[in-house]
Amino acid sequence: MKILVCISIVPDTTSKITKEASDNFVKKDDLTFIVGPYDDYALSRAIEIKDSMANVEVAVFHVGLDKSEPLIRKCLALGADYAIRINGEPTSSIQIANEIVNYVKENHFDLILMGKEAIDYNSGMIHGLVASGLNYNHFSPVMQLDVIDEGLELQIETDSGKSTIQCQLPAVLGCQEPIAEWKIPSMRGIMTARTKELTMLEMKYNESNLEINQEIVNETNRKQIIIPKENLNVLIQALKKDIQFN
Amino acid sequence: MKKLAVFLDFKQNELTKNSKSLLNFANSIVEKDSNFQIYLYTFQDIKSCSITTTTKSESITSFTMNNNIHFSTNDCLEKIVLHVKNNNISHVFCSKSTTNDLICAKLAMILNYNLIANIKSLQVEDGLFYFSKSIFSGKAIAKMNGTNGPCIAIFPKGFTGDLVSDDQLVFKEIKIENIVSINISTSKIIGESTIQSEIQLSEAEIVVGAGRGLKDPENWDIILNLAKKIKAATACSKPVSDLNWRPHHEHVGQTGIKINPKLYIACGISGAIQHLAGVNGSGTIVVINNDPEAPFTKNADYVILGDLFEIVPELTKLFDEV
Ligand SMILES: Cc1cc2nc3c(=O)[nH]c(=O)nc-3n(C[C@H](O)[C@H](O)[C@H](O)COP(=O)(O)OP(=O)(O)OC[C@H]3O[C@@H](n4cnc5c(N)ncnc54)[C@H](O)[C@@H]3O)c2cc1C
Ligand SMILES: Nc1ncnc2c1ncn2[C@@H]1O[C@H](COP(=O)(O)O)[C@@H](O)[C@H]1O
Repeated sequence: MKILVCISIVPDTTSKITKEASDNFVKKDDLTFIVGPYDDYALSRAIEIKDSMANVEVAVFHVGLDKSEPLIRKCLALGADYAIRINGEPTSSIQIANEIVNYVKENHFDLILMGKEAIDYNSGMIHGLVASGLNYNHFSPVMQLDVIDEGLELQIETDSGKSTIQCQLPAVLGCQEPIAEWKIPSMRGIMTARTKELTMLEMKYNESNLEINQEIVNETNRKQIIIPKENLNVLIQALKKDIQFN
Repeated sequence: MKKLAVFLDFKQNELTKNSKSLLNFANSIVEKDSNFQIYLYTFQDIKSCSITTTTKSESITSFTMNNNIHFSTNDCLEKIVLHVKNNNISHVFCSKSTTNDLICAKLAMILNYNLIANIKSLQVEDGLFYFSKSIFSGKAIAKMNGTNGPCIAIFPKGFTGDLVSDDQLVFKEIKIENIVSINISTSKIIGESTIQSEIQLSEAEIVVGAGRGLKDPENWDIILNLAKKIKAATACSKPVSDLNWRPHHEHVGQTGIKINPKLYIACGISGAIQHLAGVNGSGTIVVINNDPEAPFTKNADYVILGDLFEIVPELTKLFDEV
């Protein structure tokens, strides 16, 4: 079985997002970047599957610039076999989806794992777009994934609870916790990752008809009023005023 | 003429609150701009219902799957795609849900429409759509200038937009007319479990959240009592669900559910940035914590410093008297 794990590279969850007044976009230069936390879950599960079965190959796929390579190497250190980076700066989900579809049409994969959403632009759409482009089965958010004789057994979150589903391969899944535990690369993993193959291809879908023109930092200035614990009625009165509490 | 389709969600033949808000929003756009016409779709199995909408929508077209399986492949969408194409629908609005997300991403790819999720606001001027969407888990907003191409827009739960008041809209009752059932599916559901709580977290107006400060799952009664008293849904921090103190679906934050209630009361939660990412859309935030240095105290409207084991029951009692 061939598994492709698509990763986003996003500002660290603890980053403070800032912007210069004169700029249109938030400052990205001094941010620390990480592999998207949901993508990390997807990759961890892929590696667990590889470790538990014979003949499983795991590839990592990323559309982005070369500054992403150390993080892609980290994915290889965790146990992925090889990686593909499509060189470019995509501005829309459709562009990234088309790059993935295009690659998979030429290099078949049975299972494509992604995160439920990338935590930078929070769209949660690329897996659906890719599934459609390839006409693969598609589910998201997947909380449990097992390979069975007939294909896959999944537990997915629905609007009213959970469903357990069996579906056939090929499939595209958006993953979320608790699908796997995040992993830390081993020393040996780090050493072997150095020689694993990281292929770079040029981006083909350079045009995007949807662009962000301006980003604004969301300053929620909370009131930070201290309520004396001896007099909680102050809170009740305040809440009544704030939200027509009944 | 621009044609706008709105996906509606029902719960036991009743339009959900989120769909109602979205429909009102769509109606207000249509009322301001006479070049629009509304189509209504649903993917839920409803035999009859009546909702109120503007004069410009005629009926609901219902697309349902025989065994209620998710729209997991393109084949399942064939009839929907045909309907959109035959009626020249250029804009699709829906409220975020598992089914709607599945359908929208696929429709966008098949129809080659723009797809915009997580919408914070939308204005229509001279036929152009001005979107803004929430990014970096609510830390920033991205603005997109007037597009006039076809697009599919997914609005977060609880989206109301800038509504015009109801009395400016001319309402009428409409019925479900067109039922299209779809039979293809390569997946099967082998088990389902529904969340037992009465109030769904993602739709709740009031949420009481609790964290590791509760110390033990046995201690949750005080949280549940408070929640019950004020008709709130309950939430928790990630370590709490990792430890299995509370069910996974209650975990809010960066890797969990994002909530936007009118009121969020956080008890014994430190307010790590990953937790805040899930709750910063809340209207008013109350924090109960015995550590004045906890990050949450800087991100709250009201802070009660002290032992939650004393404060939460006391507060529950006071709400009683309201
Ligand atoms: C990539 C990533 C993603 C993450 N995603 C999430 C997420 O989605 N959601 C999430 O919640 N976390 C997430 N986390 C974890 C997050 O960083 C914090 O570790 C977590 O939120 C802490 O949970 P807590 O506040 O319950 O526990 P703690 O940090 O242990 O805080 C407990 C708090 O309770 C207070 N307290 C203790 N006793 C009392 C008492 N008697 N009365 C009053 N107050 C008391 C303490 O002062 C303290 O502030 C994520 C972490 C990472 C790295
Ligand atoms: N630049 C990228 N390259 C490869 N995969 C990506 C990229 N961006 C996002 N993805 C994948 O698509 C998923 C959903 O992203 P999104 O739809 O942008 O929220 C992410 O969790 C990743 O698995």
